Amino acid sequence: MNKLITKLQKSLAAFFAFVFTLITISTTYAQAPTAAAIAEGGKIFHAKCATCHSLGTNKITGPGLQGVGDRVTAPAADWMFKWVKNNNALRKSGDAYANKVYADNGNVAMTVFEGDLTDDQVKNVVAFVLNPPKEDDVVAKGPEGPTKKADNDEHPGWILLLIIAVLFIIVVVLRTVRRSLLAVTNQKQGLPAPEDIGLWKDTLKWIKTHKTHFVVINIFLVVCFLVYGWQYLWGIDVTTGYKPSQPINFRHDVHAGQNGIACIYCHSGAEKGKVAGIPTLNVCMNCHKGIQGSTPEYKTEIAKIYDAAGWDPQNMVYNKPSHPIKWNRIHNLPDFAYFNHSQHVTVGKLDCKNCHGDCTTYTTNEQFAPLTMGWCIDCHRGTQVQMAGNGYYAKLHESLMKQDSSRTITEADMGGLECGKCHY
Amino acid sequence: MNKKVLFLALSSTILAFSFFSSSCRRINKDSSGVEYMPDMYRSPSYEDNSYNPLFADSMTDRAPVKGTVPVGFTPFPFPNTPEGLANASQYWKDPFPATPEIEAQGKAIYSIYCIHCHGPSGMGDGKVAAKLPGPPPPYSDKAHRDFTEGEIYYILEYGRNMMGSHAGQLSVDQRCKLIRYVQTLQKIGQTSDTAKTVAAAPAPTK
Repeated sequence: MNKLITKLQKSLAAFFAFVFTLITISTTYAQAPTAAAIAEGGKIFHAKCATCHSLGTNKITGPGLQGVGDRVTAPAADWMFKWVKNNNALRKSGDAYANKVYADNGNVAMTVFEGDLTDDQVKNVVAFVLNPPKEDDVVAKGPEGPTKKADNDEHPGWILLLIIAVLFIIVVVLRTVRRSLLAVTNQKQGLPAPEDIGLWKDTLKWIKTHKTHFVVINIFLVVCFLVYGWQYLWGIDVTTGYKPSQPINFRHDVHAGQNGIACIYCHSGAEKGKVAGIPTLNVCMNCHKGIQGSTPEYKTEIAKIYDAAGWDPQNMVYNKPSHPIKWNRIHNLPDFAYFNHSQHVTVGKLDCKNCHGDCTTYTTNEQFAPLTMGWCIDCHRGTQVQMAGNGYYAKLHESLMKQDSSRTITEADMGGLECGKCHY
Repeated sequence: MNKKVLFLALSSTILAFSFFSSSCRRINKDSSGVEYMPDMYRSPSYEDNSYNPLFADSMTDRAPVKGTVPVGFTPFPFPNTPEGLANASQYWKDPFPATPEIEAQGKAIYSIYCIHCHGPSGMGDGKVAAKLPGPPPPYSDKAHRDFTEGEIYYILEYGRNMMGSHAGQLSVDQRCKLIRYVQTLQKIGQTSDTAKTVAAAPAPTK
């Protein structure tokens, strides 16, 4: 009897195990994919498909995939499997919808994934696209770093004007108070009231009676005038720290700092020619075709690029008139001084930071170096020429080293102080 | 007492005034400050990137006249069409040899122009790629590792999908050297690359 029960138990267990495996297998291959398959598909989607497809309605390179299951030929999973695996073959087989999608997207062919992804992987991707994560499951990407407010180190001038006005009023009021008090004391002592001689004569009278004070004030005034006057004169045409507002709040700290984009990527003229160049809009669009901004502030600023370039971010086409952006120039050398970027960057192998400061920290770009002649000369005198592996001026380097191999060669030794090098 | 007050008032006025006058530039941050002989700085000639009222688009920088070619420059002979692509990938050959020296030069160019999206080894894991809707595909995956040098040049010239044309930033020589380095990246981990990239990819955010 006991034996029978154990046997029964065993066979029952085997039966249930069989049913269970059957259910598992059928769910794997039937319409409802497992959560694991969807998650796996999500990973592949992000690595392989997200370059061109969003899960929303917006087009990137290919169409947005929201509601794609309702658009394509039913059954959706089968059609999409064929499409993802080899869309080329599907189109050639004469599938009407496949050819329509191809035509609707400007005859841009999608990558063929046959051989790259296994059948199971393609199935998982399709499962993920048909069961995308719900909006509230998605953790919104936070803004990249804190949005720094433009630093406001400029003190408003009207406060100073106000202080001066208030001080003048105090002087006038105090003088009136003093006069009326004097009148009252004089009246008590039976003396005649002081005559009103006016502010100017009163000041002159005060100067006569307070010679020491007058001299001290004058010395103070002259010293102030000399010190500030001197500084003021030396500041003419020197625009260090010039930091004008720009039509787009472009942030070097985000682009060069956080994103680590090389200076020369955008200012590619720096290694090729005279000017480093303000990048044209197509350079902005190399990245901003895809990056539309993660915060409302960024979105507003990036929308200005789209507006200028005539780009429609919804349909991913240039379909509007374009116009250049009027950036405000910061670094400006006078016409009589010649400066060439490539000679300093490519030949001299100088780092951009030498003259432009650490742009990776600038929220608004500013002038770092004074760009005066003394500043140029100082560097030409003091900086050692990098001669190793430098094909430029190799002969000159060689002959200079022949003269005296012990000393360091600076730009000044190579004629970097000649007037005609920069002024001609 | 009164004298002292008057003295204080006067001196503070002077101090404030001199401070004010010395810092004119700081008050208006859009002004570059005082200029002596501004015509030296704002020359009547039009400079690079400057505004120009003579042209309808207000730009001084002009594109070369249509049909002209700069001295020493060979234009890319293949048009931006499917046939052009097919011809380019078949017939365009890189003039530079695939030597370690050229590849090193190509790497230097890569680290300026490509690395922020395509990542240090072309796996599509650059810093900017994380902000794009999706990362660029790895050079070494099946769909891309067989791109010929002609096709890579074609992509640099005309752009593809999310990537724009880089013809304006890279000189012909730079592009040719770059291609030699990209070809070394195409060869990375040629077996079971999909599994690797999928594992390396961050989880989908949307």
